[in-house]
Amino acid sequence: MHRCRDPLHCLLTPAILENIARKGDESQRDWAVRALNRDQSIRMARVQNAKVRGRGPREGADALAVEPTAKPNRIIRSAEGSESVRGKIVRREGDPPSGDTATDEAYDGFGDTFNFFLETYGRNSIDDEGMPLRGVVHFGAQYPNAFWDGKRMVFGDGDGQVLGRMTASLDVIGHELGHGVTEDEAALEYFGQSGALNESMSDVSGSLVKQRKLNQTSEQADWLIGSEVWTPDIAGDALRSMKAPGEAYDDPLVGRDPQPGHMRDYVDTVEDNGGVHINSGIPNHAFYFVATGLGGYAWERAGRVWYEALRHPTLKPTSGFWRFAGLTRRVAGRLYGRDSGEVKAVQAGWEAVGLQLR
Amino acid sequence: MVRSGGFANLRVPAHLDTSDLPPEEAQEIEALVGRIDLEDLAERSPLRGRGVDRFQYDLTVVRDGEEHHVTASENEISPDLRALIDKVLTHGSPSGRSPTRPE
Ligand SMILES: [Zn+2]
Repeated sequence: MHRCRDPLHCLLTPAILENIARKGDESQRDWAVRALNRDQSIRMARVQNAKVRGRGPREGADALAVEPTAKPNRIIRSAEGSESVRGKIVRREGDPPSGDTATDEAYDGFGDTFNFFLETYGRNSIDDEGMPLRGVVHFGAQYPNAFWDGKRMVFGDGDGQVLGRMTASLDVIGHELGHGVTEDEAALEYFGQSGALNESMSDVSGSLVKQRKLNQTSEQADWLIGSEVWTPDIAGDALRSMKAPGEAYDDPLVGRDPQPGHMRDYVDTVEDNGGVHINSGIPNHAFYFVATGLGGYAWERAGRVWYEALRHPTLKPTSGFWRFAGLTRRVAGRLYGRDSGEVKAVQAGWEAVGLQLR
Repeated sequence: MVRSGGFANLRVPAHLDTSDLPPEEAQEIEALVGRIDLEDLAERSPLRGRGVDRFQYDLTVVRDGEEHHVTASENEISPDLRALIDKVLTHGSPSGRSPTRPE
């Protein structure tokens, strides 16, 4: 990660820098403009503020560090088997463990995901403005699902026959929170290719949160999504595999993993919002190729490129795989240089799934 | 009917024919179907709400010999339609066909 050369820069919020740039004397203005222009200065300022605030005021710094403390604000409610998202609060930020497994898994998983986005990309929560992380557990009667409803992450306990507790997998939690980030940055329409891209962004988030938590390199990671969710009766490693789409499970009761890992196998369907959880296998597979092609920790370069491409202003709600692939290459060129190994790895990753960038 | 989507996207087909049911149950379901404005739902399909990873239901309802196709997201379903879906899921055959009257 980029380090601050001048610690004072990093304590200043963009708003303060902008103010100095407008109102300071000439040398102050130059300095502020340089700080503002420097890649990452804005995000780093937020992260550094958060860290400094966490340690208490520092000499000469506290007056400048006006950004709110970047710490998660988690609020977990229990639906107690109903389909209400306004059940009673069972754990708030700072509360000790509740003793209820789903509640504590959601709380801890939100914390891991929050820290992942803050520490790797300098993002302060879902909206980058410190939005509270609202979770609902024990939703519905044997409800075998988890979802993001636009405001909160909701988790069922599973039917017990096929699927178990949805909070059991950290990547499921990271996936749902990732939906919030995607909605905030790109609002990718949840249908067809833009929807599959939306789904893939969430799988990437979920997988990277887990990899970072386990301190795994791209070679060590299992690239599985939801490996703790199947009941022991089901023959499957996970719900999805980014490494081998289509091979996550094969079971007499639930059938076979329908995901393609290449454009030639793209599935046209009206079910599942036009196959959003099916064709997400294609960009998932591309991400896997890019990350393993580069080696090391996947969140550092491959993840950073994906994240910056998601935030790119030319990514539209209706954008599909091609647009996104092109943006990842452009972003990689900007971050690492046009002839860098990163650009080559990005290009090769997309090519491996049938998306040849010109 | 087919349920799809959700985080896991496990495809769940279900078929229910009221003529296979005991008269009392059949009447209950037929009354339920009678209360649903199928023409309107079919016209407005697909009904998609805000939110992601929700279940999607694709239904074909045959009422008085007429077929109606309805596609609705879990969070855009009226209580009557929800009750019907639950009946099909719990009483229907998972094969996608009726067990006693194969098509
Ligand atoms: Zn999703």
